[in-house]
Amino acid sequence: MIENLLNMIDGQFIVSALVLAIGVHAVLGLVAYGVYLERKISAYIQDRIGPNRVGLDFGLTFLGFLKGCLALGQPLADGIKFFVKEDFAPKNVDKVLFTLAPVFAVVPALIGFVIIPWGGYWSMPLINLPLLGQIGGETVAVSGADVHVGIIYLLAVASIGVYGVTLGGWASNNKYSMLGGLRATAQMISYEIPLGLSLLATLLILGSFMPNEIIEYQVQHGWMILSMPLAGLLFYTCGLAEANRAPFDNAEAEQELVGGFHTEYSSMRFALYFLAEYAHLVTGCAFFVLLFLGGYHLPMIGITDPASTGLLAVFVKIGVFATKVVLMVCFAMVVRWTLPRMRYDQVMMLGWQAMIPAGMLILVVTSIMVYLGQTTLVPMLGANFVMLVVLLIAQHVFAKLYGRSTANRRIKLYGSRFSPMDGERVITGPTNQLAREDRPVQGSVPTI
Amino acid sequence: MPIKDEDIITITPAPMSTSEAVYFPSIIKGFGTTLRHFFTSFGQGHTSRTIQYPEQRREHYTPEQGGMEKSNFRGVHRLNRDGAGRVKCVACMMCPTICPANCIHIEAAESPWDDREKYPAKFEIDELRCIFCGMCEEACPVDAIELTPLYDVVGESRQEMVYDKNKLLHVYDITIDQKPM
Ligand code: SF4
Ligand code: SF4
Repeated sequence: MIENLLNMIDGQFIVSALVLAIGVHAVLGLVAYGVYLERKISAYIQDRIGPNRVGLDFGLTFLGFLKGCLALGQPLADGIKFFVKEDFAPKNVDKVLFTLAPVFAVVPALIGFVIIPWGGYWSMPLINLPLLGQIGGETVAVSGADVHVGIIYLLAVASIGVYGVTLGGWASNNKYSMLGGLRATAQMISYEIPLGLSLLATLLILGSFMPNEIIEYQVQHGWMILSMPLAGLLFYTCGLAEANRAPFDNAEAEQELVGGFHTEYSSMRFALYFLAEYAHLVTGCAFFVLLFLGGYHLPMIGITDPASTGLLAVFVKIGVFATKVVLMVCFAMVVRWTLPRMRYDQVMMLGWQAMIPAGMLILVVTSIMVYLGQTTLVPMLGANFVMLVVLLIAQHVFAKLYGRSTANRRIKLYGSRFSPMDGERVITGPTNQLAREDRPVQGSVPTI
Repeated sequence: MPIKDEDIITITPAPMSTSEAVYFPSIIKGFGTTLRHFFTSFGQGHTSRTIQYPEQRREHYTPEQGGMEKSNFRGVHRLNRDGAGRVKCVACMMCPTICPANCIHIEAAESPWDDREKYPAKFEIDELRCIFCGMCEEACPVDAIELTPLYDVVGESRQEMVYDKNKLLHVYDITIDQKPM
């Protein structure tokens, strides 16, 4: 029995265990600092500064040099705050589900990482370990699991995440939470389809479900974002919707639903939801990097080729992969602070009337290209261009048939300071000279 | 005044243009705006609007720079003293009458001085209920109550934030330099 177990432990097992043990914590750290990053980015976008007080000096004088204005201790402080806050559950909630729901949200978000091929392959040298004897001497994958169904697994796991949201909304016994949960479900169902369609089109060309093979294909034939930009765009947008990120964060629309599905949650349970949301974002971005941005590969840099399998190469690859993921996360944050949240019916309309037809078109055109055997960069770019033209024409035709919705433009108004009528000059300060002089401060009268 | 027909403008919102209807050009324009703000305000660059309270305070800046104007700022109240250092208030009850938040409580008593009939034996303002509208200051016939530029007042209990006569006179003593009567 024990012999069998010990025999199971080979080089791959140990590397996988190491990657998982480090990876989960790295991701958790990335999530904590993702919140920090989001606060900083949003602050700078809105001409503010963001957190800048909590350094890492912990009040100790010999660590005084860490008392930075970067506030790198903020995530720690937030975490401690979540732990020591009162864990409040309202009276009529479904206690079991109420406790389980955040777990349902966080577990799928965290186990998705397993198949991300952070460092490609490593030719493991022979190592002598006590009890286990000699291990290694083979090529091992630097990822949690090097499985052939990697992509399918990731898709499956990612879509379980919505159970947490829906159950949380249901268990809270609160109409706002309930609505938030329902919205999340409907949105998930709608956006799963275009996500799947664009993914399918990409996989038709990639020809494999195995993460490492996907990257190897891209190393040989160029990154997929170059040959399938439309599918990439569709995939990224749907990924945002799947992760409940703005502009599709209707499940927690503060203006309409108080807090949506997590209205009734507080303390660590709320923190779990928060964590799940960011973990989803990170998984989504890692997925995108894997499929479209060549994973750990950088063009022109030999050490990031799948062929180099030394220890240094593995670390460089991990660094490249992580940097790409962080950049994509930053991009998602800029998206969040640029685009306003869409109205719920608009989200659904976008999903069913725009995304799904576009996804089908992409799938059909890609299938034809695969049938013709023309899947290299230039023909695919041509095909993408054709698709774009077809989509634009279709858009135009449907607009002619059904009419377009009106644009929200600035309307000229009498007496408006911001968009006055033509030739009108609106003066907002007091016009009476006496009143102006009566004002003690010169600067409080706007210059006219 | 009735609205004349010729003053009414009927506005028909224009339909979206093609570039607006496919969203992406507008979205990219939006990215341009946010990224411009990101880079110009990065590390408190020139578009940054933050004042680093409490090291920097609004008092240190002119109103043009986003600071505050002390002469008409409506902060915590004070009760003015007259030339002899006595409370100026004549307990006319104008301010509790006008106060929209009902937060001024005065007990009038016969004045110990010859030049007026009444004076406030007790004068309390609940600074937590006050909305700092400044009506009391405007209502006062003898300019006895005024709002000062002090805004960072704190207390450990609600009771502490009910300012009595002594406290209000003390506010006068510490703010008279900043805001002369
Ligand atoms: S400032 Fe306004 S609310 Fe406050 S005490 Fe004076 S009148 Fe009342
Ligand atoms: S209005 Fe002025 S004088 Fe009258 S009670 Fe108030 S503070 Fe005193």
